[in-house]
Amino acid sequence: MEKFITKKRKILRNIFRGLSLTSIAFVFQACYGIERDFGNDILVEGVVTTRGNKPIEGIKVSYDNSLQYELTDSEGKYSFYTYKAELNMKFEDIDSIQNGLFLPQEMLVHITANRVKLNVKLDAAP
Amino acid sequence: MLPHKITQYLHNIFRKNETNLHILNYLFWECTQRCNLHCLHCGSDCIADAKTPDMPFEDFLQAILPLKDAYEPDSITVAITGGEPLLRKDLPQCGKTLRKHGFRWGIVTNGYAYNAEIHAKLLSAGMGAVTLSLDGFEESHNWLRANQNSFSHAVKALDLITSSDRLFYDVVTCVHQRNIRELESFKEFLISKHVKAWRLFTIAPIGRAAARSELRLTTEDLHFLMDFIAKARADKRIDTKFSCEAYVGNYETKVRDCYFFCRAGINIASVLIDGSISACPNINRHFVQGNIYRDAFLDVWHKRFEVMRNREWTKTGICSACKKHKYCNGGAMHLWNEQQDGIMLCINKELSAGKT
Ligand code: SF4
Ligand code: SF4
Repeated sequence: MEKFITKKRKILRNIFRGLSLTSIAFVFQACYGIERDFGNDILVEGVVTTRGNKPIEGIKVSYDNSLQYELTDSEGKYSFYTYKAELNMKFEDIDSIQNGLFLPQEMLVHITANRVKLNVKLDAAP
Repeated sequence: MLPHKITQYLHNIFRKNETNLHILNYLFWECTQRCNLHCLHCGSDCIADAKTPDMPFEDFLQAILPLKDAYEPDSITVAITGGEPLLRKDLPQCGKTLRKHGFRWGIVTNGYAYNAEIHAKLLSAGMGAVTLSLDGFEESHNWLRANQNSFSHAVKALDLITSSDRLFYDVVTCVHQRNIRELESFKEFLISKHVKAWRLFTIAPIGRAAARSELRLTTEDLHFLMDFIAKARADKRIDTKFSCEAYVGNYETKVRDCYFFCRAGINIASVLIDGSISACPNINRHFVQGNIYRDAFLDVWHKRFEVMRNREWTKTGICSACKKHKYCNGGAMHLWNEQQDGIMLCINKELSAGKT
């Protein structure tokens, strides 16, 4: 019975949502709160390793020359959110010989899903 | 266009239905009580070194994870508030973890510590919404925020926030006797800064504001404010609205997108600094419904909150004989104190009293 009533209420809710006069009421925010977020974002994540598959810590992963960057953790992992469908990504060793010395790598990434896995292998510096 | 009486009637059915369903989609997290400002009107009485330590993120996360089974996490917005949330060094990490679990998140900030570096970090962490406080031009803002640099910092924050195509944001302005006459020119300033959404509040007589009469608007000021908002909405250059804080009678749909509906405990919950489970953080702590360190958050949400879902008890004090109660439902929860014997103030009554 309880389930039936809830279902009915949900149907009523959808009817209200369909009525343009009250659909706006679903986009409420509390007086002291933020706007609701309905934006699209994409999670880009991956692992940075050596050619021999050893994770590299401390690699700076940035994109579009922006201030936005991440450093890989001890497992070589990084992740960040973006809303852009095309990214110019850069992987740079910025901690000198700590964790080894690697050549930078740049790539253009086209994003088609809302979750992207991008594993990268870096060449050791000569 | 349907007549006002019919839309108001439909809204009442809608409100009742929402109350019965009580689907949670707005969750405040009071992550810290530390603050880098000491605003004259602060409702939370925050200080630079708050006595209650910041809540460990893991405690909050564990409490809310069961929400993922009950709701679509993407439909829940976590509003991280304080104090000043930017004082938490782990804020980007907290946000990113929430987003990875599917929750949407954003912050309410005074903008003082907001700079290009933190902006980039928060965006990378999946932040989708920001509310920035800006209370008029330099003199008025700095006076209310009790800090000579607060305006310049907040404007820098504003420039960063408006430059992002990703963020849902708005500016909130607390209107008081000192800044009310500059609203028109301030509106032009916000438009010149490419601000798209602007919310205006009055200041409730709670926290530090209770002792300062110049923060309260007179009846004449209230009419001025309502007319100003209605006019700004009509010219559509910036999405201006009165906040959800009160039922405002004939001004209802002129100053907001929809009718007044205090959703505290109906769609809005909070986890406060000490683990208390409540609705909006500005509600009197007497209305706390549980504590994450003792109770299962989801259980509390489903089984308690009766006091906010059935507001018949609000028919007391000035609300008892009020003909508008069926629309207003006893006003804002945050304007009720522990005695529950009358609302602290009614903007609708003040507006009606000033009618000529
Ligand atoms: S308690 Fe106050 S802030 Fe919260 S929803 Fe109600 S009116 Fe808005
Ligand atoms: S008196 Fe109470 S019920 Fe009537 S409008 Fe004011 S707050 Fe609402």
